[in-house]
Amino acid sequence: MTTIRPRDRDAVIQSLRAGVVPRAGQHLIQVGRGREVETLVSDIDRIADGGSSFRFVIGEYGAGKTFFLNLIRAVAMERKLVVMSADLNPDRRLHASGGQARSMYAELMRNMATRTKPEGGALAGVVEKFISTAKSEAKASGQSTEDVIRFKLAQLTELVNGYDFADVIAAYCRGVEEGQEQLKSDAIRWLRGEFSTRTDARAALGVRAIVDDASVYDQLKLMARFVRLAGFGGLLVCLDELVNLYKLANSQARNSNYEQLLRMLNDSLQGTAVGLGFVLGGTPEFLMDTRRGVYSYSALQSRLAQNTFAVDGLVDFSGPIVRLSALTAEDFYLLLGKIRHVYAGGNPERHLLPDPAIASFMEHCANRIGDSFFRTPRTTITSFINLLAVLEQNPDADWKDILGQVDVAADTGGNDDLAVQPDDELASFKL
Amino acid sequence: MARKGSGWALWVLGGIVLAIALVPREVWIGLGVIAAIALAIYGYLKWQAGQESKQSRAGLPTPVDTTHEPTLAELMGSQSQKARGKPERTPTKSAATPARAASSVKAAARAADPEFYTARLDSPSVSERAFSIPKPFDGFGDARWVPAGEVVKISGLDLPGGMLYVGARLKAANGSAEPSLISGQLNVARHGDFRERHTNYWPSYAEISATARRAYLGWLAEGRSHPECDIGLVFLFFYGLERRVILDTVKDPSIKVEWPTIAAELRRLLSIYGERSGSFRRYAGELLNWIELEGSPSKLYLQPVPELPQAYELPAYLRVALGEAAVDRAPVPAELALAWVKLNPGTYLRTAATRCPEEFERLFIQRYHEILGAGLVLPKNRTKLKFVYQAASSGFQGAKISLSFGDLPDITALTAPIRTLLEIANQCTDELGGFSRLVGKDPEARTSLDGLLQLPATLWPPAGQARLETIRSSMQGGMLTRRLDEVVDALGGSSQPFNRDRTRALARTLEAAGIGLEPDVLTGARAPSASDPVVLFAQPAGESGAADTSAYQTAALTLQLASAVAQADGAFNDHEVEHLRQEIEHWNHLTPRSRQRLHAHLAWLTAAPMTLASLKKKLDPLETKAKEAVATFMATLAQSDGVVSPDEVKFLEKVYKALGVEPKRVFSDIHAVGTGSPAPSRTAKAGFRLDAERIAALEKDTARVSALLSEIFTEEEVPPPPPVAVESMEEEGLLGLDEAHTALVRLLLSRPQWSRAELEDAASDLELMLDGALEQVNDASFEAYDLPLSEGEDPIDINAEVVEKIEQ
Repeated sequence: MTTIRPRDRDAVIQSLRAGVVPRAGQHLIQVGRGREVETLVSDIDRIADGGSSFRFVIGEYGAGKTFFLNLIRAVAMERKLVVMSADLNPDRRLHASGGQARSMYAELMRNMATRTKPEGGALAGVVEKFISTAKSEAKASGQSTEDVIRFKLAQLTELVNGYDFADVIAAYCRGVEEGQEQLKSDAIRWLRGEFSTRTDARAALGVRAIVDDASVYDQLKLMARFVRLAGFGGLLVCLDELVNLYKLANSQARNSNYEQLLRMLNDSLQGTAVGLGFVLGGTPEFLMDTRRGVYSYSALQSRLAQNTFAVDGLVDFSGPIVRLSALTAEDFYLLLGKIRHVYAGGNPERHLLPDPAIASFMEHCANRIGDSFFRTPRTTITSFINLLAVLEQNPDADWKDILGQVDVAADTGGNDDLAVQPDDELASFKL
Repeated sequence: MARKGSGWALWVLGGIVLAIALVPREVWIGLGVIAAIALAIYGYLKWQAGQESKQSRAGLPTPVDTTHEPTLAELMGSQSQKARGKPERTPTKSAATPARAASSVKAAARAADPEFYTARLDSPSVSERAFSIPKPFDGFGDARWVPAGEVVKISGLDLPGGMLYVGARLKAANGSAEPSLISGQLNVARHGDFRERHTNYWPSYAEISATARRAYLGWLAEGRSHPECDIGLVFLFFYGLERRVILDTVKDPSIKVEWPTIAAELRRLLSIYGERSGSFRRYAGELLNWIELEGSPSKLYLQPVPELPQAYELPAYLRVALGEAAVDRAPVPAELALAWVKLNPGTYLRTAATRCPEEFERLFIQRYHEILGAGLVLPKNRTKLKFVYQAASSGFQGAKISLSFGDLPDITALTAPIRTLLEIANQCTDELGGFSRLVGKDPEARTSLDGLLQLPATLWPPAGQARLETIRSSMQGGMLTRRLDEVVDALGGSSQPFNRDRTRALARTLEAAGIGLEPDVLTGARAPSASDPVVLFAQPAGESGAADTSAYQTAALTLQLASAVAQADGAFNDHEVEHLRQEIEHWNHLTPRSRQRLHAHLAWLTAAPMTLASLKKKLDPLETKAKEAVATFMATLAQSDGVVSPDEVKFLEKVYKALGVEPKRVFSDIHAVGTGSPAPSRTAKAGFRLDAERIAALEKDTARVSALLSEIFTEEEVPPPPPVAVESMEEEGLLGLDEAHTALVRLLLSRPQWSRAELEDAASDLELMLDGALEQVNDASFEAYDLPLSEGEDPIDINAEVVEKIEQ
C-alpha cells in the first residue's frame, strides 16, 4: 500500500477525532462489509448507466450507517455521479406542508457534490458545465446558445415543472451572456428551492412555479436528468437519519412521508426515474416498528419484503434493504488497526502502537464502559486517536503507561433515536 | 295281600284239621315246627317293608352310612375296573357282603314298586315277555334311553330333545325303580302346571301324582327351559342324565360319546336353574365335574377350563388340575387361576366381576401375568385329593361313588395361593369399578367410548381394539391431527359431552395403548373442547412424567410462543414449522421421548395456535435469562421464513413485553438475525477476548473491499500520464480539453493561487463560465492524475502536484 495523501489522512483523522464520520478517505478505514459495498457499487454503476436504485441501509446506532453512506457517496463521486446528501431532522422531511420538505430540498442542493467539489456547492458548476457544453455546441453549429439549451432541455419539459426548469436554466445562461449577476444568482436560488413565494420567482425570473413542498421529488427527478445532460453519470441522493420520520408523532404526517418513500421506491423499481438513486439510512426501529415505522405503512412494507429464499446463511442483496450488522470486537480491532495505519500516513514503520497495544486498548475500554463498547464506537475511536496524538507528540512516552489514563466515555447517543418528538401540529388547543 | 293270605290260611287250616285227624303225632310235631319257621319269616318281611316305606317318605336325606354302604360296582353286581394313565382312579370297595346287599335290594324294590307290579317282581320272566311285545308305544315295554334330539310321544305330548329314559321298567343302581323313568303305563292327569310345587325331596316319576306327571311332561314338551319350573321336576330329568353318565357308562363305555351333549345340556340347565336352586347347582356341578374328570386327559391344567358352576367346595376338576400343576411344579395357567378365583367357595367377587365378567376375565389374566409372570407355582402339600360323587338320584341311594387320584395333593388345603389370587382379583375389580358402575347405570355404555374409557385399552373389545388400530395405522409419520370429537367418533362415539375428566381418561387410555395425546391433559394442560384439534402420536409405553421437568416446560413454552409468533402473520407456514422441527431436534438436553412429545405439541400448535394472553400466565416463573433466550429465539424464528411481517413484529413486541424484556430490543434482535450475525448474546462474557479466526476472515473481506475501493479511488498506483510530448499536447490541448479550456489551464498553471475575480475576468475573456470551466478542468485532471487542478473557492489554489505532472 502506497502512502496515504495527507489531505485524506487529515480528513479522516480530524473527523474521527471530532466524533463525526469523515467526508473523504472512508475507504482507508473500511473494514469488512464486502457484500454490502459491492451491492452499492453495482447500484452506482446502474445509475451511471441511466438506471435507478433505491436502498435502505438499516443498522443500529453505531453500526456505521453514516460512515457507509459517506463511503457510498465518495464512491459515487468517483464514478462521476452527482451526489446530494442531507440528514433528515424535524425541519427537513420528505413531505410536509410547512416548508420542511422544501427545506430538505434546499439542503440537498446546497450539499450537491461532484468529484471536483466533494464538500458540496457544486450546483453552479454543474449548471455552468451544462451551459458551456451547450455553448461550445452552439458555436460549432452556429445556433444561439439559448436555442441549443432549449433543445437539450426539451426532454425535461415533459416532466412536472420541467418547463419552468428549462426557463430557469435559460435565464442563467442569459445572465452569463449578459453579465447579469443578479439573474444568475436568482436562477441558482430558484434551483436551490430558496424562493418561498411564486410572486418573487415571477418577478425575478419570469417563471410561474417554484420548488415547493409538493414538488420536491419531481424536482429531484428533473435534476437527475439534468445532471446527465450536463455530462455526469447520474444523481445519487443520500438521506440519513430517517429515524426522524419514525419520530413524527402525527400519523398523518408520517404516512405522507412514507408515501413519498413509496413513490421513490416505485419509480426506482419501475425504471421511471432515470439516473437517479436513493440511499436512505435508518435504524431497525424506523423500518420495523409496526406503529410508527415503515412497517406501519403496509404498501411500503410489502414492497420491502425480503427474499424468502435468503435464509439460513443464504443472502440476497438485491432487495431494497441492506442490513448492517453492529460492529463486533473483531471488526473494531481491525478498524483501530486501520486508523493507526492512516495516522501513520500509510507507512507501517511509523505505526505508533504495536498490535498487542490495540487489544490492550480494547480491553481497557471493555473494563471502562462494558463489553459492548465496540457497538457504539464513536467515543472509543476518539479516545484512540487522542492516544495516538499523545504518543506522536511525546515519542518518549510508553503506551503502556498512558493507556491506563485514557478516559473513555460511554456513547449513549443511540437512546435519542427512540425519542418521539412531540406532535407540533396540534400542541395545544383552546376554544 | 291280607285277603289272599287268609284264603291260604283256610286251606291250610282244613288240611291241618284233616291231618290232625289222619297223621300220627310225630308228623304233627314236625308240622308245628315248619309252621313256626314260616311265621318267623313272614314277620321279618313285614318289618322290613315297613322300614323302607318310612324312609322313602321321610322327606329328609338319609345320612349316608359310611360303615356299610354298598359301592356302585357292588350295586351293579359287576366290578368295573377303570384304568387311566394318570391319575389312577379306582372305585373304592365297600366292606358290605353281597348276599346282604342282594336281599336288601330285593326288599327295597318290593317296597318301592307300585302294587300292580308286586306280584311279578320275583319272576323276571314276566318282564322278558313284556319286552317281546312288538313295537310298543313310547313309555311301554322295556325301558330305553331316548338319545338327544329324538322326539317321543307320551300321553299325547310330544317330548322333544330326548335324553330321557322311557319304558315300563327299569331298575336303578340300588335295584329300586329308576326314578327318572317315564312309563306310559302310569296315568297322567289332564292338567298340570309345572310352575306349582308337586314334588317332595327325591321325587320319582312313578311316585308323584298324576297332576305332577302331567306337569313334568308339560315341562319336557315345552323344551325344558321354563325358568319358573318346579325344581323337583328338573331334578327328575336330571336323575336321568345322572344315571346315564354314572351307571350306564360303567356298563357300556361307548356311551361316553354322549357325554359332551349331556354336559352341554347340564350347562344349559345350570344357566336356567342354577341361580334358583343351590341344590341343583351343586348336583349338576358335581355331575359336570365327573364328566370333565372322567373324560379328560392328563395334565388337566393345560386344558381349557370347562365351565363349572360355583359350589360349596371347589369343583373337583379344578382341584385335580391344580393338584397336577402342583405335582409338575408347573405354573398355573391364568385361565385356571381365574376359574379357581371364581369357583372358590366363600369368595364373593365384587359387582364389577359379575356385571362385566368378560372384562374382568381379560383384566385378571393380564394382571395375573403382570404380577406373577408365567403363573403361580403351587407348593406340593400333603393333603391328598379324593373326589366323592354325591348322587342326586334316589336310584343311587346308599351308594358311595368316589374317585381317588393317587398322590395328587388337594390344593384347597392351602390358603396362601388363593389369597394371592384374590388380591389380584380385587385389584381388577377395583380397576373395573368405574366401568361397572357406568354399565350398571347405562348398559348401552358397554360398547360406547364412555365405557371404553373406563377400561384399560388392552381390555377393549375387539371392535374397540380394531378402531384403535385404525387410528394407529392412520398416523402418518407417527402423528395424527384430528378434532377431539372426530377422535371420539373414531373410537366409537360418546353420548355425553367431553369434559376435563373424560378427556383425561381418554388420554390415559390412549397412553396405555401407546398413543400420546396432545395437549397433554394429564400434566395439567387445558382440556380441549370437542371442536378443538388434538394430536395423536405414537408414544411407545415407557417412563412417563417426561412432561414435568422444567426443561421440557421451557421448551414447550418456547414452542407455544413460537407458534403464536409464527401465527401472527396469519399462517403458520411449512417453513416455520420445519424450522421449529429442527430446533426441537437440536434440543439435546431433552430426552428423545420429550422431544417426540414436543413434535406432537408443535403439530398441535399448528392446528390450534396459542393466544398470547393464555401464555402470559405461564411466563411468570421463568428466570430473566431464560426469558431473554426465549425472546431472542422468537426473533430468530420470525426471521426464519425470510420475511418479517409487521404482524410478526407487532407480535414480537407483545411477546417481549409479556416476557418482561425491553420491547425495543425486538428491532435489534430481528436486525441482528437479518444481517446474518448471531443475535447479540446478553450473557456475561468471561473477560475480553478476540476471535482470531474471525479476524482472519474479516481481514480477507477487508482486503477484498480495499481492492474494490482502490479500483474506484485509484489509490493503488497512479498510472503515469502517457509520455506524450508537450508539443503534441499543445496541439491537442492539455488533458484532452478544448482550446478555450486548455488556455484556461495554461493560465491557471502560471500561478499557484488566483483570486476568484481575476479568474472570472479571464474566463469571460475566453468566453467561459468560471465554475463550469473549473469543473471541466478539474474533471479532466482527475481523469489524468486523480487529483483536481484547482481547490477552493476564493482564492483558488492550484495543485502543485498536478502542475508538476503536467509540466513533466
